Amino acid sequence: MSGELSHSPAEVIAQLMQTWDDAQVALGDPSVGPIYFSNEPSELDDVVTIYDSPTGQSDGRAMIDGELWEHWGIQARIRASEHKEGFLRAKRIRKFWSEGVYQAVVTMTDPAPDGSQYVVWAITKIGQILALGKQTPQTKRSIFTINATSPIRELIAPSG
Amino acid sequence: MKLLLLAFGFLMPKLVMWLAPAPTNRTKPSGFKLEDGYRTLMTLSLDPAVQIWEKTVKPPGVDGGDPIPQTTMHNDHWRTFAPKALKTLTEVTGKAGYDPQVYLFLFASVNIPCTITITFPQHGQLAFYGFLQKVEIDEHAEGTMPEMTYTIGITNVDFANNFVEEGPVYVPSPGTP
Repeated sequence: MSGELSHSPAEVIAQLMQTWDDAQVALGDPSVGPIYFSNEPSELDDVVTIYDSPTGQSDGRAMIDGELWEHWGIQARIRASEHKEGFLRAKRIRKFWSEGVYQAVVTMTDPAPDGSQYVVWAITKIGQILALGKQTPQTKRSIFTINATSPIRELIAPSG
Repeated sequence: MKLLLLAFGFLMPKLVMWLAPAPTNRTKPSGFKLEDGYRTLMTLSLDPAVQIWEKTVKPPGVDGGDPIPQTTMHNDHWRTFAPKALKTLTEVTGKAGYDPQVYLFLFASVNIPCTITITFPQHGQLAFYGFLQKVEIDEHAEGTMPEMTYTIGITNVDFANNFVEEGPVYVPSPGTP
């Protein structure tokens, strides 16, 4: 279920994860980030990138006003210089998605606050960690992906 | 004369049986539609921490029963029916993972009246009188997580107060309808 979205689901989930990651770091836990969306930077070894993915699910359409409902498809791509570290970071993300997201209100602040807010009902249908191996021949970084779906609703549209 | 009958029908619509139904336009609901089934919980007042882990919960429905046929030799075109007066709150079922220690609870608690609470994803709660009617343990197999299928029977009877009829109660969560 969605209605109107002024940001892509990947952007909203990346913002949600950045807020969570900042809180983890403040508690003294290691960061899983930095967290990007839609474009994976080439220069960093250890990054997480959230993509919009076609693995979502259509929940139907309202007869009253034609509103489309859906669970949006998202994918986290975790890149790491060390295989073990990458897997553990992927596992932490998966745990956060499954246990830490329940009707979470996300305030968009990156790159700058625009006044918009979303509610991420939950992250659902979370797949297994898919180890894609090394990013050869360019580098020897390890790549992991996790697919999931999420119903997202816009609470407040961006101002201006 | 016809105008007089129509005016009479407006004042006492139950006595005027020949007015055709008037269409009503649909308007947009103003409520809060659930967006996902996560997280729906089932609580038994006999043990709110019962050793099961809900995977699915099917909340109760309301069944008015089959219409009562009213057709007689005086009907002209259509068979006619009347609704029943009473309603049934239908059973709750679901699947759950379990700790085998739950057998101790089952031995003592199946068929014992209690209060059942269904907690909906937006935190609204539906409470009603019922009992744990049946638990079926699904087949165990290598490579799958053992599960049980539970069924909650509904009594609509206040077991603690002379067994008087008492229907379900819905308690909305703060801030939502």
